[in-house]
Formats: sequence, structure tokens, C-alpha cells
Amino acid sequence: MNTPGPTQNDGTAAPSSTPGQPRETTSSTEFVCRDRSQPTEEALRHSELRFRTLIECLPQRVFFKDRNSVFLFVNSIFAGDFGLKPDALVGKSDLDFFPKELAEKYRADDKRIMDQHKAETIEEMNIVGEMARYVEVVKAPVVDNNGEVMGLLGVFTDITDRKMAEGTLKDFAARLERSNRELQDFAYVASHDLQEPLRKVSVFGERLKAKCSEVLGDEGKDYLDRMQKATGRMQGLINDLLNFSRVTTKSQPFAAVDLNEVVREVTTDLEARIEQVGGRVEAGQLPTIEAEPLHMRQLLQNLIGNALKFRRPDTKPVIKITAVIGKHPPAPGSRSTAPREMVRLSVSDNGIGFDEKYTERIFQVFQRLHSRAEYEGTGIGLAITRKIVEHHSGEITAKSKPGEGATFIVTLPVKQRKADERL
Amino acid sequence: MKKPGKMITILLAEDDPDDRQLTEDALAECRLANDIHFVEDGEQLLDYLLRRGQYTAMAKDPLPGLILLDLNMPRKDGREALKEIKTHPDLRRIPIIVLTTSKAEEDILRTYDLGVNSYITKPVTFASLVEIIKVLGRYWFEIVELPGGGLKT
Repeated sequence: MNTPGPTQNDGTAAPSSTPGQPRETTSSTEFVCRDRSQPTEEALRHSELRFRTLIECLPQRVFFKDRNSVFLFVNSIFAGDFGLKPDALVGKSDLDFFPKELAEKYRADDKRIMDQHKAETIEEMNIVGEMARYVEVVKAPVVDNNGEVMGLLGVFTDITDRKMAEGTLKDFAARLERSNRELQDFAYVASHDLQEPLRKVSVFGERLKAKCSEVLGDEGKDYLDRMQKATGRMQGLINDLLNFSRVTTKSQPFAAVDLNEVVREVTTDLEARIEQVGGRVEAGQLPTIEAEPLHMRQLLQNLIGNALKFRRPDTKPVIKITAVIGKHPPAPGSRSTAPREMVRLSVSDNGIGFDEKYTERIFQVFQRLHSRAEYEGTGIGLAITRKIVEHHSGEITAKSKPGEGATFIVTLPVKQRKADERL
Repeated sequence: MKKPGKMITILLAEDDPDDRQLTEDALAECRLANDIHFVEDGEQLLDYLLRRGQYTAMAKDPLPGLILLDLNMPRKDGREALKEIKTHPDLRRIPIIVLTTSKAEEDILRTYDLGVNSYITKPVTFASLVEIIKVLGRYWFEIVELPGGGLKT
């Protein structure tokens, strides 16, 4: 809150715009009153009027106290809290109106402020009758020409609503964080612990087949084969879920990542597959950005891997990777108002493409557009990709038409915000 | 060729009865004639090695020549047991092989830091378990020299 303007020793506001009056220069933390060349009676009356109107119109409670914390003046809204007229408070003190402990605290604050000649802003409780509220009080010493403290000015605002809202918000944030953490732990623990019994089903199925295959007969062996394939698939799903949850549970610090280097590494890893299908990866000049190195590798591995997988049977896959850097306006609701430098990374292929009505679907966990017979996989790749991008405060989308290839567009900040700057 | 270490006892620390059964089956499948003993958690493991509690009567028997150690066990887990064994002046010589479902990088680093001799992730199929036991048997009982004479409590 701004410190109020200067006041005179009688508690009236200094009329800074009165003709012929020099503007007062005061320290920002105390009110110095000066003798001035005889103001005319009319000027004084006008000044008094302006002061009264101002004080009465303020939505804040205003009071002046003397050196002993006795009320010299209060505004109507302050007196109204006690169902009184302002005059009824004059000559009394906090002890007459507030619970003893509270009144003593107020008076101790007053004394300190007057002794130290220093204004303070205090957030505290204020209790009037049955009503308790949070208030923000500015108390400032009123000092005369000789530097003597004559009293104290106080202005306070009811901040109960703000306090309650802050509390609710804090509660929400804490609850959200807890539930997020539980969800992450759950996914991790569940996938980890689910592996064990599944491994047993698989292993003992194998033993059953090896030792009892004569007794089982062809039909029995066929059932067993189907069971084992199903456990194999479930193991795959659990592993994928584990990897998906690891994106955030096992996150590493951000570092400078040269995307050219990442593309080179990923292309080397996928070399055998690329050669096998006669494919080609063409990468333009890519920037260095702040990111989790392993995440960037996984991101490009998934996108390039997808492009190789969903190729047209009659066409050699060509994958083009390009990047542009641009300023993006801050995200809605973001605390920062400065535009952010973002890199837009495009990974285009000449594969089978997809209908854009499925764009949202392909980024969801275990969602697939093809049968398992057509294309292998569980449908986790793009979900992990999106989780990685969102973990970096970025966005991912895709443009495509069936039969005409697809372009995946990843937008990532060049620099990551520090944790406390994030939303 | 070195004579096969028939006298060497293998000790398996594993809380899961299915896995104990499978390991025993795999040993049989490999025709490894070694005695295999079982303990079910880290406390039993230490009692066994130090001949305490239910194992007092074994005081004269030789210590195991090889320990297969699961990491996640009740009461005292494999990591704690490993640390105690590898800081014990006599027991530290016994080769320990971690056999666990955990693929966590931190478990691998930490157990090697504590002095484990090998770290193996439990295979998903029985066939690969047999393969692993075969390789272990050949390596530890035929190729390497074990400090057999010195292993007494």
C-alpha cells in the first residue's frame, strides 16, 4: 500500500495544491508538520473540508492517535464498526474497544512505530464484537517540526476475502500436488508390482508346455499358446505404462541439448531399420535448446520411428526434420508477460498419413488407428511424446491427410523457466 | 580341466517360493549337482552365514561358495544384507550374484558400489533362466578359482 501523503499536526491533510503554499517535502515514512506563513481562515476551512471529505470517502478505516495511543480522530466507517459516531471514540483507546490481548498488541505496535520513527505495514487479526477479520494496517508516525513524534496515523483495509482466497488456493494446490503424486506413484508401483505375478503366469505356462505337452493335446496346447501370447502382450502394456509414468517420476535436470546431435544419434540407432526399408532422414539446421537430454532423444526416436513404421508399402520413406525459431506470445494465464522464444520442430514423412479427425486420439495412451495385425505396437509412443513435450511446457500437434504423409509439429521453449516462474 | 566344484554349496536368498522352485528346477535342468540351500530374507541369510539362531548346528559345515541374492525381501532386504556381508572380514570373500526383477539404474550402481560380483535381472522365461544358471555354473565352478580354503566362520 502506498504511504499516505503529508499531514499537519492537527491531523488535517496538508493542502498541497493551495495557491501560495510550498509543496512539502517529507521522508516517505513520517509526516513532518511545519509552521507555514499564515494561511487565510478561508483557505484553512477549505483545506479542512477537503480533508474531511477525503477521509469520509475512503473505503478504508482511518484513525489518528496521540503519543499515548489515545484516539484523536477516526472516520465514520471505523466508528461504524462499533455502531458509534466518530466523536464517541475520541479520547478513548484500543483497550476500550478490542479484546485485551489484541489491544495490547496494537498499542505495542504503535509504541514501536512512534519510537522508531518508521512506518510499518502489518497484516493482523482484527476483532470487533463477534466478528474476526484479517486486516492490512499501515501505521505511520506523525512528526512535528522539531522531529518530535506527536502521534500516529493508521489506515487499514479488510483483507479477509483475499486471505480466504489465498488459503483456498493454497489448499487446492497442495491437494492437486498430492493427488498428482499419488497418481504417479500408483502408475509406477502398479506397473512394477503387476509384473511379478505376470512373469509367474508366463514362466509356469512355459513349464506346463514343456513337461505336460503330451497330456495337454493339440487343443490344450493351442489354449496355452493363446494364454502365453496374452501374457506377453500384457507385459508389453505394463512396460509401456511404466515408461509413460517414468517421464515425470524419473525426470532429470534440464541442460543444453543440441538437437542436431540428437537427430544424429537417433538416426544411428535406427540405422538398421532405415536401411532395411530403403529410407532416408533429411535434417535441416536445428537449434540447441534447454531440455532433458534423454527426453529429446526419446521424442525424436518416437517421431522418426513412427514415420518409418507408417510408411506406404510402395514408397521409400523420406523423413524431413526442420526447425524455425520465433517469438510466441505468453500462454494465457501465464505469469510472465514477455514473449517467449520458441522453437517449432517439424517432422514430416511421406507415409500413409491419417484422417485429422483422429489427431487428438493418436496422442492418447494405448489409442491406435490400426489393428495389431496391420501394425505392431501398443499405442504408447505418441502419448509419451506428448507427455515429454508438456513436461517441457511445449505443445505437439499433427497435420495429415490419409495417403499423403503426416507432419508432427512440436513447439518447445528455447529456454525453460525456473520452477517458481512456472504457472 | 579343473574338477567341477561338486562340493560347493549354492545359497539362494529369495522370499518368493515360486522363484525358489524355479531356480531349483533350473539347476536340475542344467544337471548341476551342487547342493542348494535356501533362506527367505536378509536376516535368515546373515543367521545362516554366521551360524546363528536356527543354523547353530551347522557350525562345522563349510560356508556356501556362491550366494544368489534377491534384492526385495521382507525384514532385511538384499541391499542391507549385501552391505553387511561385504563389510564382514570373512564373509566378504563369498561371491554374491544379485538376481532380481529390478532394472533400476540406482540398484545396479548401488550394489556394485557395495561390492556385488554380478548383477542379473531375472529373466522372463524359464529357458533363459536355465541358460543363465548354466553360464553361472560354468563360470563360477569351472573357470574361476574360488577362495574355498579360507571360507570358514
